[in-house]
Amino acid sequence: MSVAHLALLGTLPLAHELAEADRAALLAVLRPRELVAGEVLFHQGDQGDTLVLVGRGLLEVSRVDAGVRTELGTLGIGAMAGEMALLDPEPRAATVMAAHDSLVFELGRIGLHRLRATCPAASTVLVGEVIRIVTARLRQMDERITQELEPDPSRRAPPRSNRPVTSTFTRLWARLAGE
Amino acid sequence: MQQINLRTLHSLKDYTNPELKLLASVAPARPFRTGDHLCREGEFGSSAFLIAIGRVAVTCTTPEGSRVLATLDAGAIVGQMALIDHAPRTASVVAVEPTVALELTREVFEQQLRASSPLALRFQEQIAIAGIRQLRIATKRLVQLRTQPIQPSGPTERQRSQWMTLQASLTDWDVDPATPVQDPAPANSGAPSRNP
Repeated sequence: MSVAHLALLGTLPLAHELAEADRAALLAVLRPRELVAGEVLFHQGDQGDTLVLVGRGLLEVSRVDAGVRTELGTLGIGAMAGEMALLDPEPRAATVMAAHDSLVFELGRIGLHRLRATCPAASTVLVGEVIRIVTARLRQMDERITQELEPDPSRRAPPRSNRPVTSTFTRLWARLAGE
Repeated sequence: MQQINLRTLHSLKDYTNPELKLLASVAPARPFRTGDHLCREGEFGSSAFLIAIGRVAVTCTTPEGSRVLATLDAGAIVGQMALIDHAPRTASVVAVEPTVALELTREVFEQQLRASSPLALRFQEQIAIAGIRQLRIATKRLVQLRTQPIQPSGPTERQRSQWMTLQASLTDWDVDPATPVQDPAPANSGAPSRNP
């Protein structure tokens, strides 16, 4: 295990709430991978079941539909890609490429299963973070549909998705996400 | 009450015997008659239900009246968002035949999660997978609906109905994660789009 990698992992929001020993257990199942600018991590349509956590650098996410390439955005330090495929494998929906020289931590399903056995606390935080991301996307979609149906904001019904954060571990996830 | 055999439920097929035993002890079995509500839209809920025997309908109020979003059989888990969020129920769940459901409260779930119980970890992962599948189904349907853009003059009645059905299905991702993901109904169908 690399001390530098452990220190880097400790700076990422995901690891903030983890004790030192839990971070070490998490790092033990992660595969650090150095990428050079332009290197593709995975292609749209590839089978995959790994999550990628950005430790250093910047990734670019893009998609090709009917021959037209669309840039969907970038992922900076602390961001994740492939978190849905980790829990529920399906072909990749987009291509992810290193925009600069980058370091990512990869986690596959076997690693997640090992983590569940060796460090349930870290596994809970990780899966909790995936739930938080997915819930946020569902809410974004809800808001986009409201906009689509009523472009005039003054005539829109108040969002139904404005839910207070109350439960203990929802608050924990919110802190992890730096909200 | 009928004898419940958790071992035969597809959503629990990966659970070990000690986990099933723990589940049965922390989540009491509750009987419901046909027409009884397990939970009601708009009410604050703090528990999830695992359908052990019977069948329930998930319904939601829209401007055109009540809509059935899904019908779920034994093995299905409903209302699990209440374990995550303190928010009003986004749909009602009604027994459509005599039903027995195990009720897991947020308090018990959080207690099990803090204790790193394998049962809670599995349940947490199932909640995540349910959300992921919900998001994937909704995304596909959104792409289909976008092929018929809404005109600046506003949506047609049919478009409004289709978009609102999608929106209604979104805010309730209390679907059974073990149900295979199906392609949603074609965009030109006025029928509710959720998998059965």
